[in-house]
Amino acid sequence: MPIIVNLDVMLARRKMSLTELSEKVGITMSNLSILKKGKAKAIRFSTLEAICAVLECQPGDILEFRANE
Amino acid sequence: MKTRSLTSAKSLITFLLIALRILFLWYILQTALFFTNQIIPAMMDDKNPHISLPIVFKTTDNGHITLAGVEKSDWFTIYSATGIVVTNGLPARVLYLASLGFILSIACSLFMIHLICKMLENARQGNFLVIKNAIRLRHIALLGIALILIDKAFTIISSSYLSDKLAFPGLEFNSFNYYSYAYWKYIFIYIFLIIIAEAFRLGAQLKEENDLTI
Repeated sequence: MPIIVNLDVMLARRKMSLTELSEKVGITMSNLSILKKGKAKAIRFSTLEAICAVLECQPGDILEFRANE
Repeated sequence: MKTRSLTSAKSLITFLLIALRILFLWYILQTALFFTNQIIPAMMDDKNPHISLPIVFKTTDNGHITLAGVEKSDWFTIYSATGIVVTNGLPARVLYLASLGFILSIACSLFMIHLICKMLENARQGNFLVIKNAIRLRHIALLGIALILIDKAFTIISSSYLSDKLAFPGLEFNSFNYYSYAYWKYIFIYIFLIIIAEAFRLGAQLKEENDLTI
């Protein structure tokens, strides 16, 4: 998929675990896991807003476009 | 109330699964009996095996119809009829060709039952609205159409082959009559099922996208 989710990179930078993020954002671990593995088909703006607020970053820090080789 | 309806739905699915599996075994048994009673004896030097074939016919003579309270009786004729001819007077190769139609019909039926069972098992696990089930539904519809076509083709071929070989007082055997095409309208039900399967597939796709929307 051309859209890459760099959630684990931001989690490492903020020294936060997935469980902690899940509790602060209010999303289940399974959903966050789906997002982290790149299996998600879409993300709501409300979810993106909540993640960016907790990780103190921009959407571009989490989402990256990579054209198919 | 919700618990009771869920329980009754699960009971219904279980009942249907059991019924379909019994039907599956029944078809297997029918096939086994067909092979042991007809094909194997024919292969073991039985030059004129016992064969049953469909035929279409009409009556050549008129009968009388009498209504209650009416003095004068009127005439009637059987213009189109269908039946099964049972004979030992045909060569073994006819049995082998006829068995091909039988085996194809049984194979279609068995595969349809297998697909329906798979769908019901998914429903029992609470996982009914998936793309795989939509594809299964499409395959069931196509097999249903194939079943009707095989049956009709078999009847037409059998009637054409036997029409000039049979003699029975008061009956005229035809290659083709009303019963050769009578039940073709049921194909529309399976065509409609293909449309439903397509709608099901789109719904399953939307659900999958929704489930994977965080």
